[in-house]
Amino acid sequence: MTAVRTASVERTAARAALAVPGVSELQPSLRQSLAEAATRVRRTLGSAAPSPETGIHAERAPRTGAWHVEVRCVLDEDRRALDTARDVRESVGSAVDAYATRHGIPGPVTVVVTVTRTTGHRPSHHPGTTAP
Amino acid sequence: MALDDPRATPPPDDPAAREADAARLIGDERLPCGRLVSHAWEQARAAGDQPDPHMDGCAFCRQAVEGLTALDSTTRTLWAERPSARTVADRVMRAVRAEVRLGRMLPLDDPTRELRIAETAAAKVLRRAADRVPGVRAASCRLTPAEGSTRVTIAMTLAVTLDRPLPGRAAEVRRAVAHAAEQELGLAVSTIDLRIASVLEPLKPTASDEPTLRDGSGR
Repeated sequence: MTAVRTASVERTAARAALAVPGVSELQPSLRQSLAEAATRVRRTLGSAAPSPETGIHAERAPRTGAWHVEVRCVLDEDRRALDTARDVRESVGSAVDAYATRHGIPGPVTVVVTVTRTTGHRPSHHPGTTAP
Repeated sequence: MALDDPRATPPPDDPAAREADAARLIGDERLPCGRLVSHAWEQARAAGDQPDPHMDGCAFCRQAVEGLTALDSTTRTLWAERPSARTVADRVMRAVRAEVRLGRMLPLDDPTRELRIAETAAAKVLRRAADRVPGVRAASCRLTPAEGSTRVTIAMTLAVTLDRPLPGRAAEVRRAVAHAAEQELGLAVSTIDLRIASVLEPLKPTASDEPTLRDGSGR
């Protein structure tokens, strides 16, 4: 498994995650944030664009060929976080599975979704609240 | 690359410019045509004042000057950016602090335990739910996952007005927080512990809608 293939899987996963309704953006991991801190100077020179796989980390187990994909996302508050996270898991899992099969690197896919933040305020009324 | 204007480089008596001068950065190499790189660079910078026939016809000098122009431009951008070790360290610390601020990762109510939410993200929603109860402000909110399950304990401290009985008000907060945990987040809550830590001034008819802390310090 080459790094190029892994990066392609991560890009595939990022596209799939961002296509899910309720996903606002993907949040970089600490590893990616540190890399960003070191390479920001290079970007001021116009030599590199923000990484398209930010917020995704993919690994393939060498012995079993199983894919493990981590997604860190920021969600809109219009939907329940659990429902959006489930959709992200399904969408990313299907996309990675299809990509891996198409490119001859198939294997079971596990997707872990982490909600790092929610955005947008939804005014909701809960039961039992009364004015003083 | 075209040689835009080598004379745009600041005068060499400027210490900053001396540090950043492109020719100084690469040393004094001799080109295949016999000229020193520094000489070619100086000639290019002075081209308007002293025409140089050798420069016009020499591919080695032209190539060297083009490369130095690019290096000069890059150096100047870096100089303006001043990416000192401290700046890089600050960026690293900001990244680390942002990660720490997320808090622990809590399981959402899914049997696979593959779906998680950061404690700060969940606490923000739950505090807001408590704040929606009239006369209540959430002061803190901590969430603790149970060992081996997806259930979560919520511990919250509150500031409240004393114009209504506290048990009833606490029950309202509990309902509001439980509702938000289930309907907005999808958390499985095992317990909600509430502690009233301070007192809010009740609303006055002419005051704003927001209660204030009795000591006047706000939240």
